[in-house]
Amino acid sequence: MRWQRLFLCIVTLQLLLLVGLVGLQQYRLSAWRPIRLRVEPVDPAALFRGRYVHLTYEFSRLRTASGEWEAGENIYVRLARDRRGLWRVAGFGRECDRRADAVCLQGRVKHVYPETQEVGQGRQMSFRQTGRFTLVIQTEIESYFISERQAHEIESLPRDRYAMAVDVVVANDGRAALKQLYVRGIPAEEFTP
Amino acid sequence: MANRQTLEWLRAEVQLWQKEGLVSPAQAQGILARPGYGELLTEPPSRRLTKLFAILGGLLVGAGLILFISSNWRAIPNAAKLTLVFETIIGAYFTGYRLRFGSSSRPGLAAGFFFLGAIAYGSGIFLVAQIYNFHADWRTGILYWFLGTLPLAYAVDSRPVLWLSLGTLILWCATQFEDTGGLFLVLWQGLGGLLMAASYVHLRRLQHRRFALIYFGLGSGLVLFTTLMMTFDGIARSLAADRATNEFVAFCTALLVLCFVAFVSLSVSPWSAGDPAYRRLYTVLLLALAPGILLLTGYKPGNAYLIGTNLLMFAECSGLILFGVAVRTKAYLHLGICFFLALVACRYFDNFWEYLPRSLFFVFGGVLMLLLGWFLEIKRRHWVAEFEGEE
Repeated sequence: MRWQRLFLCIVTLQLLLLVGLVGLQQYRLSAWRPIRLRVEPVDPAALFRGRYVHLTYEFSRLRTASGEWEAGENIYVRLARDRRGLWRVAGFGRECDRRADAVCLQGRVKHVYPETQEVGQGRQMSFRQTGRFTLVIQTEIESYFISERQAHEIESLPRDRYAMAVDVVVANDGRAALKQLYVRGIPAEEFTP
Repeated sequence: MANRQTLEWLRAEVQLWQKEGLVSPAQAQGILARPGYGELLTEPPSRRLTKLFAILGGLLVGAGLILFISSNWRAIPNAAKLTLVFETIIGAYFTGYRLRFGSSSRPGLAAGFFFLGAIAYGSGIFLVAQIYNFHADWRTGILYWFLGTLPLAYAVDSRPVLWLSLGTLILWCATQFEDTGGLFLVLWQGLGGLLMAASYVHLRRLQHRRFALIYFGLGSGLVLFTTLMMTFDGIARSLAADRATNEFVAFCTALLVLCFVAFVSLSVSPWSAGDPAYRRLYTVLLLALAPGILLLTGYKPGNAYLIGTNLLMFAECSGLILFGVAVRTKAYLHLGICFFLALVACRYFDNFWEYLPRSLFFVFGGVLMLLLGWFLEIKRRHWVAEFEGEE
């Protein structure tokens, strides 16, 4: 009897976890602030979840003169809306800069690369550090799951002719969730080249 | 009425009593041959076959469910996919519950349904992550899978569910810290040690011999595999070059400290006073943590490190073989022999591939493996005959 009660308890907790995950995401999508971002996609596959489009943004690589950033640090990117209604990078830092006309997006510094410049030619060519650094930023909104066929199609579209954007929702503390990927303004699932 | 777990414990205790001279072999046989005990201790072949087919069936359906989710058919609405997964979970568990705890108990069939339910639960987590576009590097779902299935394995006394649960834990350890490259091997080493310590707790405190075997097998397999990897020059240097994040170092350190404490406790605690073989094993296993600890401290491996890891690997294989003989468990014996052969094969390739003509390399290698295999097979049969003779 004891084991039966324990079994029922565990199954209930498993179902509650799933319901909780769904409920939490539905709440985020309805309560957080919606914004639209321009994207550049690449196309890999995820274990257990299938094909997805890997999205990169303007803020996926940031340049800075400060050499104090380290991999693993949290970073906040400030985004402001441009005339076309897309949200663009307006600054970044270690804390969220809350302004009425901007949103903060939380990310993580994945890698820090010193920028280099070619010096000389041919056999005398070498590389000199410029004193600037590139920060590779990882955010929560980089994976868009789609069917295999569509993922491949979207990935092979020429960037200059097929503009892509995503609708994202952002919380006050900078956390974000992906809502929808668009190709030329059409939802990616309905788009045919 | 006695259940299978209690009788497994009784069998292990009776063997100990016989070894200590408290009961004679005839008395030991008499105790274990009491009416009803034999049926529970020896699963009839027909029941084993039913269980095997049920578990295979559960595995195939579960694999189909995962493939269905990963193909991401947009023609089926997300709500319909979620409903299908929830129905599979509830249906599988309900059917398993009725078969196991109902009036006509069919534990073999029930095992397959519990296994399917556990896989469907994991599928549900990944389906939610897919629908809401969680980051592809989100590995917490695998941890949720582990945390949900581990207590289930105990509640329904299911070895397949325990295998699945521990498998997800091992997978989570390997994938959670992707940024650290191959350093997850150090994590696996600590995890392997903890699993081996947990096996003793199951054997002596929880009287769950069947689970104890799984913990020990997985744990020793992980420890041996990671030590074997660290014996390769290229891998050791690559591990030293990999950058460990602070989070990884903290997690790994905590795991290795826990492992160290567990081994020291088991080596000196009064629990293990009657098990000298286990005490010796856990004392020796403290050495197995050394290569991982050195790599975490930023040590640059050279020839001394490689010689040390090869000697350690040899000691671990020999130790496991001797331990298997001491506790009369064939599985440990076979595992030790397999890894010993793997070590010999790897070192032979490493050292002679470049220096011998190809034909001689394969001839000598083949002769060496044949002789070694013949010798080990003779020893293995001798030891197994000793176990079976005493049983």
